[in-house]
Amino acid sequence: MKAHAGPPQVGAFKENERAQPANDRHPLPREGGRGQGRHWLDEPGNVKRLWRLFLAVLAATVLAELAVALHPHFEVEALFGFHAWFGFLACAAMILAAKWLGLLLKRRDTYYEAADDE
Amino acid sequence: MNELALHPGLLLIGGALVLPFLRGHARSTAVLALPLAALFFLWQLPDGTLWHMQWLGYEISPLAVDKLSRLFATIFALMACGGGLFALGQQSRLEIPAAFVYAGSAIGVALAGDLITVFVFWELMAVGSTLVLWSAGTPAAWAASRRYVMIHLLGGVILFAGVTGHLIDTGDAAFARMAPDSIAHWLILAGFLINAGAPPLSAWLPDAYPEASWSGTVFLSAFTTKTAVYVLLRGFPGTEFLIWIGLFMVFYGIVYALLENDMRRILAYSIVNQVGFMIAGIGIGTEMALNGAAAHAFTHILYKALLLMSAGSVLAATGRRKCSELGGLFHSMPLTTICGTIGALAISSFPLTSGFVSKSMVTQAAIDGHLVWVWLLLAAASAGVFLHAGIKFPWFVFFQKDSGLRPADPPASMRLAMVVFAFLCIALGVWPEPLYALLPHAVDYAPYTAAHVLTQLQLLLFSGLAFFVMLPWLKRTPTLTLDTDWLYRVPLPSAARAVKRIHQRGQRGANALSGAIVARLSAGVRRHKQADGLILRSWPTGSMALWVMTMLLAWLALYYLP
Repeated sequence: MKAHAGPPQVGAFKENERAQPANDRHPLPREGGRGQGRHWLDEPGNVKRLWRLFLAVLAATVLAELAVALHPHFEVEALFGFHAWFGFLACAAMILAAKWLGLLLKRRDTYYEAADDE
Repeated sequence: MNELALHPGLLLIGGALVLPFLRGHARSTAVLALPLAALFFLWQLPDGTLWHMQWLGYEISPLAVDKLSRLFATIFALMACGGGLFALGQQSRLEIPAAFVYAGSAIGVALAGDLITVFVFWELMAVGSTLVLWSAGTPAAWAASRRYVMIHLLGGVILFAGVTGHLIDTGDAAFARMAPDSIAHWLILAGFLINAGAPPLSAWLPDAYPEASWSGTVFLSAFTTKTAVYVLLRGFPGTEFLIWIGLFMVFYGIVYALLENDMRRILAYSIVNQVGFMIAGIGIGTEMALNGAAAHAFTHILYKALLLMSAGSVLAATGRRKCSELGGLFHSMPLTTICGTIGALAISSFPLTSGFVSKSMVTQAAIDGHLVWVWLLLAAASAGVFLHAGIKFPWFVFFQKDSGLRPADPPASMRLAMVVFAFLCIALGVWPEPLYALLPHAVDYAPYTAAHVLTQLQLLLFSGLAFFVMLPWLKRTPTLTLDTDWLYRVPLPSAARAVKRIHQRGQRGANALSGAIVARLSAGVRRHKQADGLILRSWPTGSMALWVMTMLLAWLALYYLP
């Protein structure tokens, strides 16, 4: 039996299989053009449609509160659309906190390389 | 040993030692069959303490099974199998055996009935995981593995001190529920928490895990922190301050992940975040909360592995790991995109995914206990998970701007591993009863009520809105964020270098001084004792004879003198 019989290398990538800027199966989209290599998500019109759909779903989840009994457990939870605005504000607060912390603690990603070499 | 029962953990570790000698089909078969055999033998074991031994006068039980240990051993074995499938094509011959030693010792901890066995497998886990990290073979991985092993040996020493103290205090080695009421128990708790990624040493996790190979990180994500969750579940349920430690970890993970640019480091921070939910649940300590923590550990291992498999596929295909250099990969990696997105939805606890049925039990426990602040923070954190892992990871890796990269989906073994794990993430979300049946306490919980689904959708979708509205604030920069590992990577080494410099300078001064003294002393010695010095100078034999004769003559003359 040869040393490398069988499929142990199935998951291995050969160097020439690594990412290439474009290949025949997946050519890069042409500027402004339709056609081959252009995914439907590449069309700005479709992205706009997705946005509208997303906003409609958001509105629907809030309005559905009128139809579904929520059984709030805490007083604050009984406020209209609580989970919607609480989720939004919590995320905004976390993004701001991260931004602020980043001002203090962000460094170039080569920061440790000098230290690690020693 | 009362019964002839096979230890599933030792089976996996023993198999790992044979694996390096196999090649080709035999190796692939063994990689998949070993964890499945461990799983099979695990489920053949009856409940109860199966192995009894005496060691140094202590009663130890290396194989003890109950529902909680069976749950964790099951997911560890499943993970070893899925990770092995994903890693089949890994060039490194060390990685899978090391990962199986790692997984086997995690199973060993889960099945340990006493603290001594826990400690032995705990240390073996550190060895296995360090070897997984090493096998990446890059200088960065080597440096990270040294820091990683340093922290884990420190944690091991603290745990060992705690276990020893516990043995002296109680004389009983059994691993049962403890309370932080003595120094020994505090040390045990600290040792457990270090492995869980709790503050202040949490930085070991995001520092080390992203440096492993494309498949190594998948293994690393599963065992160490979840074993820590297991021992905390068994040892310290209902320890109240764990709620606050857990909540800190949750927000720490979110904020650091938001700042991070490395796709796998984002996911590493989100491990700390998710383990935070589990630790908070352990702190709440009701049956619902403990069930939630255990269930969440189970589902977390699956979706986190899935997320890291998709990230690993991207890394293997492109050689890139920074969000700022990725994007637009959905064009050519559709399967990886879909699987990564399913993992992202599951970690966000989206309805119909596994995270929804597990995390909400922890939230429900906070509601049942009327812990309004804990509940508010958990809800905010759930929104934050969607923000940093649920959208940020897939968005920056697979969508956003087009990076122009068009790598293909990974080879069959990696695709299959991702599809199986994605299937499990959805299957457990749609049909949670089999998971609920495995939990340590009876489950009286229905995740799919109209109110719960609706409120969760509001929370998640509006955090999605916040992500896209504030996208300019989240723009990726080629930066890293300082964490507590900074302390032992920059100031401590430079302090050590300063001490070394002072020592060297002092040594040079002392050398010069002592050199002068020695030179003067040796000059004196030489003056007296060298070949023609005062003492050792040689005399001609003739002059000796002359002096002897002179003395004899003097004696003669004096004798006859009157």
